[in-house]
Amino acid sequence: MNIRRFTLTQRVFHALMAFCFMAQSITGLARLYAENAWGARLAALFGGQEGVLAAHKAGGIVMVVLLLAHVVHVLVTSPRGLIPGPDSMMPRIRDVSDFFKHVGWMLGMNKHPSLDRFAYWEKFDYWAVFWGVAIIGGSGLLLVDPVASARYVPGWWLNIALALHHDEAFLAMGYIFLIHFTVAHLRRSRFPMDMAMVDGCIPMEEVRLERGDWEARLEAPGGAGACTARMAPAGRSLALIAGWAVVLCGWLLAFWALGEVFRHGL
Amino acid sequence: MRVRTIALLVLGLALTAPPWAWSQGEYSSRRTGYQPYEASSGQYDDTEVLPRQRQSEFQRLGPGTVQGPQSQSRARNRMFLADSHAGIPYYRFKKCEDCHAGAARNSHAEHAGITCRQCHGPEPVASVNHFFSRLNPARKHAYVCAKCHEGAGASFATFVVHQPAPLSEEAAKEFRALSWVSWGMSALLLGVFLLFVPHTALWLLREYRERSRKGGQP
Ligand code: HEC
Ligand code: HEC
Ligand code: HEC
Repeated sequence: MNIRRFTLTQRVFHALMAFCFMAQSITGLARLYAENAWGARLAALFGGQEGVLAAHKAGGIVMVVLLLAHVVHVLVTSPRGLIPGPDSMMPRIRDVSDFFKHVGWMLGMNKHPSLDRFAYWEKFDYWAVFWGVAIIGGSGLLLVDPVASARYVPGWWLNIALALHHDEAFLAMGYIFLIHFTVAHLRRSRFPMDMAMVDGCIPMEEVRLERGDWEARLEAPGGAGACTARMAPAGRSLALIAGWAVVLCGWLLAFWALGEVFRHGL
Repeated sequence: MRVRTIALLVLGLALTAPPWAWSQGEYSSRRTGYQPYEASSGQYDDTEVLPRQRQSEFQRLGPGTVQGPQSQSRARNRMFLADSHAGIPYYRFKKCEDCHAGAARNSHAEHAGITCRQCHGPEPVASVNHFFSRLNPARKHAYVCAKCHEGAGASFATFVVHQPAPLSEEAAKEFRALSWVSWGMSALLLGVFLLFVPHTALWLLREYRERSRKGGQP
């Protein structure tokens, strides 16, 4: 049996965000390492540095708009999610104890904690997008038109915006490419890909093994319904291919960027 | 009733109307005479550049133009010469980056291939703080930046073209806000990766052993 986990809108947001993130990573690294052979080659795909810059600005604006649209969507469809609770993304005290119990389980010191619907690492992933877009989107919007923004803020803020933009980009790429991709694709229980974000369903066994507290609430009458409409096998294979294309692309970028960082520093 | 409405309207118009067009009249003070662009970078009745001592604490967070007490000895300081290379031997036979290696690493040169002379001008290269230098903070927005960045204002020109490396000691002295922000972000990066890299590695390992013991069954 499968349990519903994400709605179609949420999955579409995730896919669009992933697409924008990859586009921004490619264009951003092509700009940062413009003197490098790979940077030049990537930039050539967009018609040189000017094209890359234009694409990067457009992608960034789309990303900020996506996040704002998500906020509006949450406020309209599920304002109750703002109140901390078992079905909410709001952080709770138990996330801290879940973290220590989960690490204890990894070290073989205790049994797997009985998690609830959204575990602490998923909440971290979720909120990281908010502060990530606040930092990188805020500084990026200042840099879309530096001359215009200098009318409202001192020009030397642009130096700071560039530094923030650069550091947050490395934080976001490092986290997504190395940690998020590993958690979603390489864990033995999820390999080759966690399908929850594709068809919106999660198998009952996974809920039973990892998320006992959610399972207990599901068994109550009137709990969330079963997920009957799983995606057709063809669609799932397509999603698998697309997912792995993104992962491999991310690892390639990470490999390249890490090489540059080791050679020239951050 | 109507009188009062008209009176209110006139008052409102008087309060919201644009200021008197000074360019139509005689200049009564130097400050007014500066209106076209210099006035946008500060007040120039007494000084060309707002001295650091007269900047607010908030302004001093940003990069400074005139540094510290050593600027007292202006006369023999190369930072204030009309030809900053006057008397430097072999100057004519070298390239800028031979002597100013650090200055060559600026984003204008690296990203857009802009040469030193496009900003610093032909010989003689005036020092940045010289009274009549094109890069003097009083006018660089109009004389240099605006050549390429249409509409650049004085605020825009406070962008530091030759930015010190954000984590360097130099930045901590000359550009405190940049230094703080960069150290803060570095701490955040370090914290996140120190926490999540071992977390993820342990997790992978644990799931690998768990499932293999149970014969691959979840
Ligand atoms: C032979 C070495 C040499 C070469 C070549 C050289 N400079 Fe200099 N430059 C110096 C020295 C030495 C100073 C004085 C440094 C100081 O006082 O801090 C100086 C000062 C300056 C200053 C003034 C610094 C200030 O604080 O205002 C500027 C601007 C400058 N150089 C630009 C250039 C440019 C542009 C070129 C290329 C056209 C160039 N230099 C080539 C050695 C050189
Ligand atoms: C986009 C315009 C621009 C370009 C290109 C440029 N400079 Fe500068 N330069 C400035 C400005 C503005 C300053 C004033 C201080 C600042 O903003 O860092 C300056 C200051 C300097 C100084 C004074 C010391 C300092 O670092 O503050 C030196 C030396 C210098 N430039 C050398 C060079 C050399 C050499 C090149 C070429 C590799 C170059 N500049 C290219 C705009 C430029
Ligand atoms: C010769 C033309 C030219 C001059 C003069 C010039 N710039 Fe630029 N500037 C450019 C170009 C081209 C870019 C876009 C470069 C890129 O792709 O990042 C740029 C980008 C910038 C940016 C965006 C951030 C970045 O690093 O990409 C800032 C801020 C900036 N310039 C400030 C200045 C200031 C301040 C001055 C005056 C001291 C100045 N520029 C003078 C050509 C110029």
